[in-house]
Amino acid sequence: MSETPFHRALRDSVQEVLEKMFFVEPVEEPPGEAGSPDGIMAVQLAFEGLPSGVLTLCVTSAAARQIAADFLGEDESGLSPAKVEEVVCELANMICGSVLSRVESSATFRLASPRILLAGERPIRREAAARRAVHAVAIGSGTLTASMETRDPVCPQAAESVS
Amino acid sequence: MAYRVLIVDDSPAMRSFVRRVMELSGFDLSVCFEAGDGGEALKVLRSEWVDAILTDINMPGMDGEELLRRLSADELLRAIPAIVISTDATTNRMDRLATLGARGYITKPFVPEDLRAVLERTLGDPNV
Amino acid sequence: MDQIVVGMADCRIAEGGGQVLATFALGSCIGLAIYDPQTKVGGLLHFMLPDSGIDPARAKANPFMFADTGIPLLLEKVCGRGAMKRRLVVRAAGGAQMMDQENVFEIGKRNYLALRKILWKSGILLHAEAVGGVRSRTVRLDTSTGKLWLVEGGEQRELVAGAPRQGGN
Repeated sequence: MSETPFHRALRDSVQEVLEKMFFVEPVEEPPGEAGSPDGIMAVQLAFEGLPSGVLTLCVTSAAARQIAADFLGEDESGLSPAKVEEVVCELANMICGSVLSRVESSATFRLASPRILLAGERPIRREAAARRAVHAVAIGSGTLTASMETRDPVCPQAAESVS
Repeated sequence: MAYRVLIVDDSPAMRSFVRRVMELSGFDLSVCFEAGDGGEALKVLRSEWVDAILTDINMPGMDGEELLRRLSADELLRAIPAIVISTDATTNRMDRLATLGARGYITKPFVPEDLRAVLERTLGDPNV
Repeated sequence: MDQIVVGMADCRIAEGGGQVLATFALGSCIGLAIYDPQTKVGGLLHFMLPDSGIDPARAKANPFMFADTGIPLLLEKVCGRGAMKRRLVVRAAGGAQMMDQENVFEIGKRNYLALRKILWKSGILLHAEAVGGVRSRTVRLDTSTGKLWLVEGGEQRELVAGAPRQGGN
């Protein structure tokens, strides 16, 4: 199956953000559904504009700690869980903004604050999503999976009936 | 020269990152105020003077554009150089930032050295 | 002027001016030059791989082969001769995409990312760089002037801070 422009924007954004600010070269891998024995940190971020939708980011715990330490320029050992969450939230924010700037270069978009999903909380998925892209990469000591789905702005009722 | 700076971003992680880049670029930060949105930033500015403001755009509460609008409407505050650090690289946004008086901008993600270049062009080279 | 040659997986320090540190055949390897203009202490490291974790025994025998062991040692040596970290002028060249014998692509890029990560964590920003591409490079650090000369594609030029990738006023 050929890659859609939306998926390409997600792939390029993940790569650019991870390389420039986290010093990581991501290696693409097939998205997996299985959970990690190490635990996973999940973040969800809604956005409004043309298009509107939601980004979900899942990072395995060891990888989250490692990239958080690298981003802040600190040692992993001294990093609190709260600081790791803050960094992963900002990672989600940057990936989302980067994708939206690529797909809609002339529209204005608004990002909500990223939200950490609690253990056991399942990410919101809109069945009526017009476009959905998933991109998974191996990073250092774990995996990062970014999935983005958008509502088609001409079909707001279909999206509303699900949310 | 000792700098007093205000960093405005709803992400504490990004505020730390920007602060670190400023310090590693040679800006001697005597004071670094932090705010989570435009409203908090204005509260700081009611009682403190700063030499530079670095602000995000997308924030809950008052966003960066509204903050810039309020700053440029104030006789004293409009003199403070404001640099925008944002994920939004759309042409609409860039055009508006220029008319709102932003003196410099950089889009996330960026390499630290590029932020240093924007800081030096806007505020001058601190090492000279 | 004395020329001190820095080989592959090697590191040399010079102080007092009057010396040139030179390293050749920077393909996917990276040459990292640091210089303190006040004390005229300079160092040049030529490392080959990003992460010593793949071969700790080799890293122990020669720490200069890897970014994560070589760069901290370079900094330590230079600062041990009186240089101060906040005065250091830091420049890098190399990290090209070369086809090596094992056909392992991307070593150049991984070396570059490792370099940037270690410098960031050490509290240092790069002042100039000539990285990527597909061509081999040579660098010479003149400790009298602090200038770094780059040879690439048969042409020589001084390596100075270039245009940033993005951002504006």
